[in-house]
Amino acid sequence: MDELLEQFLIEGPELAQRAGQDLLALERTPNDAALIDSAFRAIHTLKGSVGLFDLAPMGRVLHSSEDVLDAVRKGRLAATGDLIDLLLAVVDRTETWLEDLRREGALGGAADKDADRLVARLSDYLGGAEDDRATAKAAPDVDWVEALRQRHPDARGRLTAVRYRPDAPAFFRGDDPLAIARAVPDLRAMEVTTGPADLSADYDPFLCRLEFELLSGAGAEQVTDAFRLVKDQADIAMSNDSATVETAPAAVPSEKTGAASNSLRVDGRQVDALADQADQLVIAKNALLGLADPDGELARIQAMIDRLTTDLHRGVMRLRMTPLSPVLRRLERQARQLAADLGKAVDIEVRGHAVEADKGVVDGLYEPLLHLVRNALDHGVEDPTERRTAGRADRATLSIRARVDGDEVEVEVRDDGRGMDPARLREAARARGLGDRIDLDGLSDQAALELIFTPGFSTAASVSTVSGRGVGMDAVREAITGLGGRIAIDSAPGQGSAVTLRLPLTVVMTRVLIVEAQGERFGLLLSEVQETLRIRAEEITPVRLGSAIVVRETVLPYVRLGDLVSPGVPAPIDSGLTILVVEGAEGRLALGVDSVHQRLDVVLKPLSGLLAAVPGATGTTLLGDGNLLLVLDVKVLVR
Amino acid sequence: MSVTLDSDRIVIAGVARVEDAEPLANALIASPDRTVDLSACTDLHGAVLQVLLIFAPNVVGSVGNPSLEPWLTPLLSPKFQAKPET
Repeated sequence: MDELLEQFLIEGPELAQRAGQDLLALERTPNDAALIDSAFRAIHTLKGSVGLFDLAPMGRVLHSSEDVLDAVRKGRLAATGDLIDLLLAVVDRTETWLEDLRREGALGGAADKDADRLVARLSDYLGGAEDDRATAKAAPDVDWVEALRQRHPDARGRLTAVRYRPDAPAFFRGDDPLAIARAVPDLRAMEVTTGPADLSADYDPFLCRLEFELLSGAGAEQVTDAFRLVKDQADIAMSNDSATVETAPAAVPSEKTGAASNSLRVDGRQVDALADQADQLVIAKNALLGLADPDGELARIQAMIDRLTTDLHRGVMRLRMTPLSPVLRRLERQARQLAADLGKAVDIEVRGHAVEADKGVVDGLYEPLLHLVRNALDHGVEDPTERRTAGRADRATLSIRARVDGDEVEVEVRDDGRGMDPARLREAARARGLGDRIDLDGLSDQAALELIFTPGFSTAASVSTVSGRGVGMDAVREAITGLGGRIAIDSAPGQGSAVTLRLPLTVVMTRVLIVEAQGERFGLLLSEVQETLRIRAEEITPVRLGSAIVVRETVLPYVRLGDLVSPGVPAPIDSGLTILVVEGAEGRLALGVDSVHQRLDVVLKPLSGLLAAVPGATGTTLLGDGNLLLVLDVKVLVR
Repeated sequence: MSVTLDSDRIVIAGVARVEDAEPLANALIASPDRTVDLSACTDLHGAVLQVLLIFAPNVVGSVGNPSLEPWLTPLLSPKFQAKPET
């Protein structure tokens, strides 16, 4: 792929995202000049880059958007909710176009029509605001190129024109705009002007007021390169003798802050591959454990490798941390669109853009969250009329909030709509024949709410276009548990609903103890094992329904692991004589196993398919010898 | 310091850096009629050029730097009409 295009496909979406972010923030604080400026710059820069490629429809839309934002910036136009919605639609469309461009190398077929529609809507706003400027701005802003060339008739041929306007703090930053301008290759003409200045003692010599217009015989790429550190301050255009301007600015992003220069753009797949290798290293390290004599030199080295691999693994996992903001922003926009489509008046509130989690978790969150948002807007939030009848404010509120809680990320989707009625949920479940399997009347109200997670359960009376496409809340729960998370619901009739998702921040290393029972190896969560003891068979005392043993004057229930994992298989008399004192769901108990093997740090993979049905299993991991180890959760296993 | 005051002339010598912009501006604010002599100057920072453009003093001599002189001369040209003082 063309190098410029490749660069553009990386930077374009970032710029669109920034513009979207600024516009959403602007909606909350409509007169924030910094936000308007930032959105304007993002759109301006994007428009500049678009000019380098054959993307006329996109260029037209961005050009009009830039005009509109400029008018807002100069106070000629108010940033109303409608206007911001329109600009958000532009950003959305731009993102879709960029995606099309990346996938198919061109804008979608309807690009021209879509562009016309957006430009027409944008012009409506400009029509009112631009009276004072008449049509001056309507002409492409490449007039300066022609004017510049006319002032320098000696410079002939195909030239690159630059308009370089350093920002006011340029000198402070240590930039020398004159040196930057002089560094342009094959410079043919240079004009320098300054804005008006106060010639009194108040003149601040460190505030940059310089403006440069340059002509160069070098190509756009080389000239762009000369301005690579101040990209957003330079408009670059190609022009021929005939003074027809071929392409417009080549300005690309403006990350000049120290933080940005420290960051690296890495293909996510490379990080994934690295993470996989780190996982494998953990497995290989574990294989080493079996070979080492516990007191030997090898064991000492093994312990060191152990520590290093753990650090490495943690480091790689940290690399995978990505912010939730892109997901939240997409959701916010979708929610806005949905609310409009459904004719519902909803204030949408999103918090927690800065929250970070593992890339896998973040990527996996969008679909389930979108489903929750759809449900809330479609089923939860009432029409304005219904709300009025119920004596409530016309506008409903939907909030999506993310926050970090310990080593988990919590995302809550809350609406103040009609809420869910446990009685109605019980009825609906009965109507769907779930009463045969579940004692519906015996369910607590909370348990009745959780019926919505039952496969095949849906309370929507009719299937609308928004939700109810056969994806139920059971799919949402499945997606969340697949990510290692949990889901909870809270709702009351007339008070709205809240669904809370809790997910792990990272893919964590888990310490397990490997034990053997009935000839099979299992992993137990080491955090649940308190001690290991060897007992004699006669120490096991039969009590009414089971057995017990006395450990340090405390009577503990005794259970053979073998009996739990393969019930009904008679155990040999000498089995289960190694006991683990573990913390079960109802207090401590003695778990009998045949033998105890080593401790391991493993990356627990969530269960899938048939394995998910194994009682008490919490995950699997691959052992150094290539065998799969099933890791059991004693709390679930022993009830 | 490459900006020095020589009776009614301001002499810029050597490389004029960003920090020279302030004394130059102050000298021109104090008496706007002073002439600026660039003949000993070999290079200058954008901030210094900005002062020269904004205060538009009489400029004599030209920067002894072939990569800068051709661009600078036309920029400051109206002031070059003034005869170098003897």
